[in-house]
Parts: sequence; C-alpha cells; structure tokens
Amino acid sequence: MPALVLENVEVIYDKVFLAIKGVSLEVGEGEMVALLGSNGAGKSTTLKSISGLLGPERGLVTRGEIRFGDRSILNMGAPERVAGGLVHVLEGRRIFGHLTPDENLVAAYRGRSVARFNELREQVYAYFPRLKERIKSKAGYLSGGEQQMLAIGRALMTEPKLIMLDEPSLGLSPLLVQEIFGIIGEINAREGLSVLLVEQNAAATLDIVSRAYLIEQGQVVMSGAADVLKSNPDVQDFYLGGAEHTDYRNVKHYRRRKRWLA
Amino acid sequence: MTFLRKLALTTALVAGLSAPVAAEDVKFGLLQDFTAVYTFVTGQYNQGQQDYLALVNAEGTLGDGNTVTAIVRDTGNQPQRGIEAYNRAKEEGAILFDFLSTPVSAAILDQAQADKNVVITPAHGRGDASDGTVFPYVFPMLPTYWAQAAALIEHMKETGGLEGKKIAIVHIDSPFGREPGPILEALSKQEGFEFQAFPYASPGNEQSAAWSEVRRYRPDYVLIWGAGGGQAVSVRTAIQNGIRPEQIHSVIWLAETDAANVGPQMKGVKRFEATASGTDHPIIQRIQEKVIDAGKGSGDQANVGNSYYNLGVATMAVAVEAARLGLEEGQPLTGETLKAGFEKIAGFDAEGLMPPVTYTAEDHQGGGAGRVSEWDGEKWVPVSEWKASYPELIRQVIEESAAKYAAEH
Amino acid sequence: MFYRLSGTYHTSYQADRKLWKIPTDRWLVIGLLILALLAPLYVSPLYLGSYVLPWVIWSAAALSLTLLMGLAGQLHFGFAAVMAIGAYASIHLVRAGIPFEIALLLSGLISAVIGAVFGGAALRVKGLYLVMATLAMQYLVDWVVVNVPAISGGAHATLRTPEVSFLFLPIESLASRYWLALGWAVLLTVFFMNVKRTSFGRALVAIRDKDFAAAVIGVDPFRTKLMAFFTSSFMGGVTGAILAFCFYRAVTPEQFGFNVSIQLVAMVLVGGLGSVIGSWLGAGFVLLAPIFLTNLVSGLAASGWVPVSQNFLSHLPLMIYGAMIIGFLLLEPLGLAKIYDNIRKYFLVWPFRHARS
Repeated sequence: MPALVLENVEVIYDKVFLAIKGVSLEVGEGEMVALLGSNGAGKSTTLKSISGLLGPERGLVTRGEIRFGDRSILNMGAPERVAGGLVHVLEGRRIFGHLTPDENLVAAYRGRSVARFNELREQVYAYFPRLKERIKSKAGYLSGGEQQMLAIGRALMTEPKLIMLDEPSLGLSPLLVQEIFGIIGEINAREGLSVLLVEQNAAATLDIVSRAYLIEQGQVVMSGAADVLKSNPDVQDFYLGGAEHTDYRNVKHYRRRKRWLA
Repeated sequence: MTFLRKLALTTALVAGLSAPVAAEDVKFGLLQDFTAVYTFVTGQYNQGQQDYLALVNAEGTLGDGNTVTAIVRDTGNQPQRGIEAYNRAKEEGAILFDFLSTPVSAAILDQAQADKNVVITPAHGRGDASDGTVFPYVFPMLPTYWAQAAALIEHMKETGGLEGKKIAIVHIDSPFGREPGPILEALSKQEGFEFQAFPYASPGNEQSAAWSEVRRYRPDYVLIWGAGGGQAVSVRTAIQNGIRPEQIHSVIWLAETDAANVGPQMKGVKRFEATASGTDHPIIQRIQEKVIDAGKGSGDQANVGNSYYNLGVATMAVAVEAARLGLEEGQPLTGETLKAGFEKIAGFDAEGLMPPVTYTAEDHQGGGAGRVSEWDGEKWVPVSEWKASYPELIRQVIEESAAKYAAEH
Repeated sequence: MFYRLSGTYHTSYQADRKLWKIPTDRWLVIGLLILALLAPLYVSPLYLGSYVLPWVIWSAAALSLTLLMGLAGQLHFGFAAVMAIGAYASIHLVRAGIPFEIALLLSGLISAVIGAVFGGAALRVKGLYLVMATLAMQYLVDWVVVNVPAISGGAHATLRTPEVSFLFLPIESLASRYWLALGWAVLLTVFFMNVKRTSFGRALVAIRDKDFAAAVIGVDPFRTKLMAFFTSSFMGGVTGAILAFCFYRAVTPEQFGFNVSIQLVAMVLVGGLGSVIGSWLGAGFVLLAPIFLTNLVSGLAASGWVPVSQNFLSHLPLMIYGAMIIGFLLLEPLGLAKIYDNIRKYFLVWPFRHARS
C-alpha cells in the first residue's frame, strides 16, 4: 500500500490564482521518489499542500484528495500531520537561529520519553557527525550545509514515516550536495523511511531516487522510473544539461520544443 | 407611551376643530455619552431625565395636551458623533439639547447659538456661559464649578474657620481639574488661608504619589476635584494617608456608587450638592407612583432617588418649566421662546428638590445656590442651607472670562 | 461590470502603467468623482455635513497614515497629535494675517517638521517599540496643547476658526467647506496612487519589506524612513487644518486625543494596510458604522422592537460594531480593501473561476 497518495489536487492562491491544477502522485512505503521541475512549476506548492502549510500563504486546496496511510489528511492542521508521521523540511532550512543545534533537536521532539529522545538524538548525530562538533554554538552561526543537516536532523526527531525535502541542495557546493544526498539515501535504506525529494538539481537527484515525477506549470507532465526519465532525450536536454559532449557540428539551429507540450 | 401620545394627539386633533391651537410635542435632544468617559453619571442622570419627562406627560404639566419627547442618543464623547446627533435631532425638531460632555458641548456651542437652539450645560461645559449676554442660548442652569468651589470654601469657613489654615486641592490633571484654581487664588487673599494644588494623572486610578505629598503638606482641609472612578480612589488614598474623612470636601461628582466603592470609611466625607438626594421629595414620589409603578420607567428602579438621578430630574424640571412658560408666549415653541421661557423662571425650586433658581437675560446660572452634604454611612445628609456663596466674586470671574471669549470672537 | 477586460490590450508600457488600466474602471472613477462633486446638490445638509464631509476628511487622514503604516511599514499611534499640530498651527497662522492657502501649506510643513523630529528620534526602534515612541509623541503634544494657553486658546480651550476664503471662494457655506475637503482628499488619493509608482514609493516598500535588503541595494533606510515620516506628517497636518476649518470650526484638544489616534489606526487596519480604496472604506466604516448602528438601534427601540434600558441600548451598537470588525477580519484578515479586491477580481475573470497563474 502506498504511504502517500495525491489525487488530482488543485491549489488556488488568494482565491483567484490557480497554482497547481490536478496533480496526482504516489509515494510507496520505504520508497524514494523525486519531484522535479523548474522554478515556479508548483513543486513547493505541492509539498505545502501535503504538509498543510498553505494557510499562511493564503492558499487553499480546492479540489482533489490527499491520503496518508489510510487516512485523508486534508482537514488536519500541520501539527496533526506531523504527529501522523509526515514531516516537511522547508526550503531555505528555517532552523531556529537563536537556539543551539542541540536545542533545535529538543524543540522538535514532541514525545515524553527521555530515553527515546536520547536514542533519536544519538541517531541524528550518527548520521551528521558535523553537528556534534558544533553543538555549543548558535545554530544561526552554522554554515549553510550544516544548517541543512540540522534541518533534516530536526525533522528526523519527529519520528516520521515520510520525510519531504524541499530543495536540500539549495546554495550548497556539489561536494556537500553529494554528501547530503548520500546520507538521505542511507537513512532511506536503513530506516525504511519514505522520502519525497523536491529538487531542481535533476542530475544528482535522479541518481539516488527510484522513481520521479516531472512537474511543469502546475501539472505532472511525465513520471516513471528514474532510469527511464534519465534516458529520455527531453529530460536530458532540459533538465540534465544535454549530452556530456557537445558535437558542435550537429548543434541544432532551432530551439527544441519540449515534446510533452504539444 | 407611543399609544398615549397618539391618543393625546388624536384627542387634540378632534378638539382642534373647536380649539384655536393644536397640541404640541416639544422635543428635547438628550445626546449624551453613555459609553465612554461620562458613564459614571450618564446612566442614572439620563434615567432621571427620561422618567421626569414621562411624569410630565402623564400629568399634563405642559397644559393643552402638549407633550414632551426626549430624543436620546449615545455620542461616545466624540465630537463628530455629537455633531451628527445634533444635526439629526435638530432636523427632528428638537429645540433643547443636553450633551453632558464638555468636548461635545464645546464643538456644538457655536452652531447651536447660530441656530438659536437652547443648550443646557448642567455640571459640565464652560462656566462663563453663565453670562447670558455673551452666550444667549446656553444655560449652565446649575452652580458652575467656580460656585461649587466657593460654596465648599464657605462651608469650611463656617465649620472651622479659614484664617491661617491650609487647604490641599487634589485634582485630576485636566482643564476641569484646574477650574477651582482662580477661585481659591482670589479667596485665599480675602480669607487669609493658604492652599496648594496636587494634580494626579487622568483617569486617576492611581494617586498615591499625589497623596503622599498631601500628607507632608499637613492640610487642615482637603478639596478633591475629579470625576468617576478616580473619586473613590481619592477618598480611599486620602484616608490611607492619614486624612480624616471629615476633612475631605468634594466637588459635585461624589455619589452613592462611590460610597459603596469606598466602604464604611467614607462616613463623614462632605460634598457639594446642587439637588437633594433620596426619594423623600414630592416629585420623586410621584415619579415612583405614576411612572415607575406604572411600568414606564426607563431604567433600574434601584437608581431612583440617587444623587445623579435626582440631578437629571432637576434639570428636566427646570427645562419643562421653561417650556411651559415659553408656551405661554405662543405656539409653536421655538428655541427663542424657550430661551424667553427660561428667563421668566423666578424662584422655581422643583417642589423643594433644588434651591430656588431665577434666570435672567444676564444670569444663566440661576443664582448659583447649592449646599454641602455629608455621607452618614447610608445616605447624604445636608449640613448647610441652600445658599449662593461669594456671588459677587463668582459673577466677576464669569464676566471676565466671558468678556475674554467675546473679545476673541 | 462584466467582460471589462474584453478588448483591452495594452500595446505600450505607457498604456499598461496607467492609473486605471481598464476603461470601465476609468469611467467608474470619473462617474464617482462627478457624483461626489455634485453631492451638495442632491445630498441633504444633514447627511452632507454629518456623514459625507467627515468621511471625506477622515479618509484623507487615513490615507496620510497609511502612507506611513502601509507603505513604509512604520507604526504610528500618535497620528491625531500630528493633525492637532496642523489644526492649531493653521488657526494661529490665519489669525496672524497669513492667507489661508499659504497657512495650509505652512501648517503642513510645521507638522511635517515636528513629525519628522519625533520620527527621527523613534527610528532607532522598530515595531512595538516604535508604537511606544509615537504614543509618547501623542501624550507630549496633548500636554503641550492643553497646558500652553497661547496654543489652546485659554481657560476653556476652545479655539474658533476665523473666517477664510480659499482661492477667492469663501469657506463658509457647507458646500464650499465640502468642496475644499473633497479637493484635498482627491489630491491625496491621486498623490498616493502615484507615489506607489515613483522611486520614493518603491523605496518605502523596500524599507517595509526588509530594511537591510533595501540598504544593500542603495536605499538609505534612515533617510527614507525620515522622508516617510515627513511626507505623512505633512499630509496629516494639512488634513488636521482642513478638519478644523471645514468640519469642527471650533477646536478643542479633545478632538485630537489618544482615542482619535486609535480610531485612525483602526481605519487603516480595517480598511487594509497601504490601500487607497481601503483608506476610504476603513474611514467610512470606523467613522460611520457606530453612528448608523446607534440610530438603527434607537429606531428599533423607539418602535418597541428592543425593549431594554437606555444603558444597554447605548452599548448594543458598540457590541455589534465590535462583532462586525471581528467578523470582517476573520473573513478577510487583509481588510475591507481585500474583500473589495476579491469581489473585483471575481468579476474580472468571470465567467471563469480563476486567473492564469
């Protein structure tokens, strides 16, 4: 049974602007799925509709259905969804800058058991040993990569069944992106945690996920196994930066049209 | 009441076939502040006014089937709402207005004078409006704050002497609180006492700083000059600071509610009063009988006979008397004939509810007589006779101030 | 009303940047303006003098305040004091023999300078601390006005406005007073709509949204904030003078008290921060709703519908009024302007449900 199902979800901002129009997707249990797309395609809106954060931005799911496990979660508030095992790592990290990394983790743990808390915390520090080194300083002073790690670690403290990551590679060096993606893959493999990864960095993403959806102008235009997408010529041209070696003799003199936009 | 009025109107119309004049409905605009600053008084005051007008209609005081109707609106003490209420009531035919709010009265005074409508300003507004030559259509009607200060000083003189004594005036820091200043200044020279002012910040919920200074000043008498909730705080803080209740003398704004707030310590505190309190008066008795018991009262029965209730009754008693005298001039009653009616009132005392008042074209205060009463633990007991204190001095202050106003305009 | 966008294609930047891009809107505005100008002919003096006139003036005041609070994001809880300075300054200037037209400008300048001085002092602080600093201005100005007889006009503190004329039109009759106030309010409205399109307006918005981000693109936060206080106080000062000369005509300190400041803030918030139409709607609502409700409830009571005591009767409108404010803000937290905007947009795209994103 899939962990997360979106059926024909439509989101409207400010009562007039249609942001995503009928997005359907599925994330299976323990599966790692990517949602790819360019700027403004509706990726973040899709994630926010899942985690219940549309309200502050004056957005509303006007149509469709979102199910997590066997429950419809549309009527739940964001904290309730977290309690249900659904966690969202926001774009731009949004860590609590005035707290130390440790306090950030404490803040995210909603349970009562100290033993369980210590266990979770050790697990986070095991995945991200760098955080442990910076345990005393304020989180606001951490580097971008460390803050991203903290944001993911903080999400793990809620003991999620599904973690959604919104552009974890934002503003990070390729080496760091590799490191973080590696860790995400490791967590997915070890804990059996479902992952929904939103990215613009398609090349790195398609290497670690099993399936991917491609979203453009608020609609899913392509989906399938990562390998299939990777070999699709359109995806290669528009998302993967074309073939690695450019044959200048055969450079096209016209702009190639995306085939899915008839 | 509507039914009664209709009935009166129909009968008057039927009678009108033979009678020369039709019955008239005189309209008073009681456009007061029920919700903002004057709430401590307006409720009871207005209740007294409306109940008295109901009594007038029940008894036919105005004669010839004439009736009087109150147009009552809340202005929230906001001038712009007062202006709206005034214009609307004017259109509905009101010729007498009582705003019971200094800012609202001030904003409308000029317009009302130009419209030749009577504005009564009992216990609020400008004291110099008592000069009828400068303010022809304004009637302060009751003793001004200057007259009240003079009355309290004279009472101190009669009870303990003034020569070489010290008076502390503890007042709210506003133009109203500073009103007795000039009177005290003038009288201190004449009577040989010294005084000092101790202002506290509005609204007066916290006055300990002022009162600890009063304690150091060691006054023989204390004058408290505030209104509303601050008054009970004044009395309570005074007693905490070693002032005896008998030393405390208050402006007109000290009533049963404040006594209830202060508690048994209040016994012995004195205040100025312009009208008698209690229910033991013919008019109040008849209101009880013909209005309240007939189910036509406009508010809580328990208020009947309270100081502010009786104050409201007295203002309307004077106004209705003026209307009655004005109607003798001819119908319909206008602002001008109503003013003439006021100026014909001589020695009217509302069957003993208030001191006899006489209005002339010059004196719109009505003589400025009042008395001092003392709280005996249950009610206010008069401790002096109705009289006007230092009337020449008060008249002089009024005329000087009015002349200044006239010069500026 | 319908298909207003149909046939409207802007082919130049100039056309696209017009104040009213859609012809129907333009005609609507012109029609409203004509209706407003002719109001003295068909509105009874009661409604013109007690409803329309104060509404126009308070709208101008709300516009002045929303420049500061809505565009520049600087909270000001002492705006009635700014208006008081303008009102008292204009009266004293006219009494000193200066022509009314110039006195209006000068009183605006005096308010602007004093407002900017307080603003400058307050600029080191933000948010709630700025609220405290502007409150201090309110109390300070109140105190000075009440306690300096040279300003407030002596013992009873009522200052009558002298008779004046504006561009040879005597400001005496209700109609002339209304036209002057309307002229000023329309001027402010057009100014406000244009200021949003100037570099100054954009600088204000930049400061509001993130002042350090504005600083790194070369907008001097201190200078811009000071200019915001200056401009807004100038507008507020002249509005105060207009209020004194066209509406009250006899000025007392209570007319510019703290509660008036709060009312102005309420107008701006209920209307919608930084919105022109919101200032008009907010001023109308905050100013007139209590009056309408009071008359409505009194009317119902007189006809025997609500048989209650006078005291309750007087508070009932306040309760309804409070409930209405809460209701509106629950329905649309961005104020009346946003409600209007939603309705407008709904009809703009009608019969479709949504605009393209």
